[in-house]
Amino acid sequence: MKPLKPICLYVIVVVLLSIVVTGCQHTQTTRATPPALCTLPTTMNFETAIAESKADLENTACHIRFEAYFQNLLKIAKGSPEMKNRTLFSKFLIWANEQGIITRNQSKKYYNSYFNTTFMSLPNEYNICSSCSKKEVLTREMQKELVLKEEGLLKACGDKQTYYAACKQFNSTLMVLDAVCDACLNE
Amino acid sequence: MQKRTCCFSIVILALSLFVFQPVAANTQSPTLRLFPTTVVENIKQTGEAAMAMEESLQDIMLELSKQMESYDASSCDGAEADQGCSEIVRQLSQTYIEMLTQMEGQLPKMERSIGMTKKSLEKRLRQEIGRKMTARDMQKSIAGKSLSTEHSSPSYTRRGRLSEKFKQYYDLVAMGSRMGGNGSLIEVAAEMYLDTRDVTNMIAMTRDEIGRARIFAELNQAYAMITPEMNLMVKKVKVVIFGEVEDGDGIPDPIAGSGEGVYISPLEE
Repeated sequence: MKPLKPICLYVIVVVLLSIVVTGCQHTQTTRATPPALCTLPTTMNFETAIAESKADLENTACHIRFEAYFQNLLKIAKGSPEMKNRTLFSKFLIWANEQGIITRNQSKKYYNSYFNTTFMSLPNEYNICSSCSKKEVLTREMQKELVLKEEGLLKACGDKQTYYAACKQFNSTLMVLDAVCDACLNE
Repeated sequence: MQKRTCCFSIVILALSLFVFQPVAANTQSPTLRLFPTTVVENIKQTGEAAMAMEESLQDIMLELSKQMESYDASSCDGAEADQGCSEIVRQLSQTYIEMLTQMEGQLPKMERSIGMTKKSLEKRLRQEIGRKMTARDMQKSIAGKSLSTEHSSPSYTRRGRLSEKFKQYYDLVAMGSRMGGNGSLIEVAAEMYLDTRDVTNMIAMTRDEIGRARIFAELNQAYAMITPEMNLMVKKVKVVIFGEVEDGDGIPDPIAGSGEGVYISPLEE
């Protein structure tokens, strides 16, 4: 057996080294390739973001992050506000309920708080006279919900008409509450 | 035989109409009894009383406004010792007492009328809305109103004279009782009630002020300066009786939207 020439030895060493290095790099890439669990979509396309969110949320481990997914979708929708976003959000929430991620009431609360004029912060169980002792709290809750409607209707869907209808109803409801509670307390 | 069959069919038809009519009627939302005839009559009388008060105060208020402008323009605030300023203050306090005297003459009629309207509205608001509706039901009624949508104000900031406002109320109520628009009538009743509350407060304040002015008169003294009470009273009369409101409050009017694709979600409440 002939001894190897130094040049050949050098080539072999270089080849071996490059295999080792590329091998390591390959290992690193394979570790990063599968998407980390429950990572919020970063796309700016709203429909793609919905599809990616749904794909993630099919994994039960991600259910706990539903609120984060919803807020992320809202952020992406605000980048390209369109009327159809309202429909897409509704379908997404119905899907989330059907998948058992959120309850029917939760899906209603999300939808109506962000995309409808109805104020979910208004009690629907007891009559107005019974709710008058909490009028101040109610007013603050309604103010917070009006901000959500601004986020959803105005900024994410560009639906000025419905948003202003919500504003008008906010003012009218507060005025009627003021008068009715005064009448209830003066009994 | 044919005649009998025909009669029988008519009877069955009449019976079925009789049976199903109430069912059909029940599917409509219940009509709120917010404005019985007595309340409507009270509203009319309150409008007339407000008109009489406005007419009697109109010239005096104009004079008072001019004198107050002159007081401000001469920088009299804090310089009442100045001869010119003390003359302005003397004239101003004289006009002010005149205003109170005029109001005193109109107060009993106004107080009686407003008191009756307030009381009956209070009872109706409590019985028909406060006890029968949840807050969410009430919002839904407002949202689905069928009466004039132009009526709904962005917030409770009344503009225009009290008499005009009560005339509008009267017209809306008279029209509403024919058309049966619950939502808008709820707003009208609430707004009217808040107006009567404001006027009641103003009447109480006027009585206090008249009492104070009498004490000054008995002591043979004139107001030596513009008191905060005086300022507040004049402001209150301007706002409550003449409906002068500063701009800048409330949410801007709706911008005409595209209105495209009205979507109704199954999740809507």
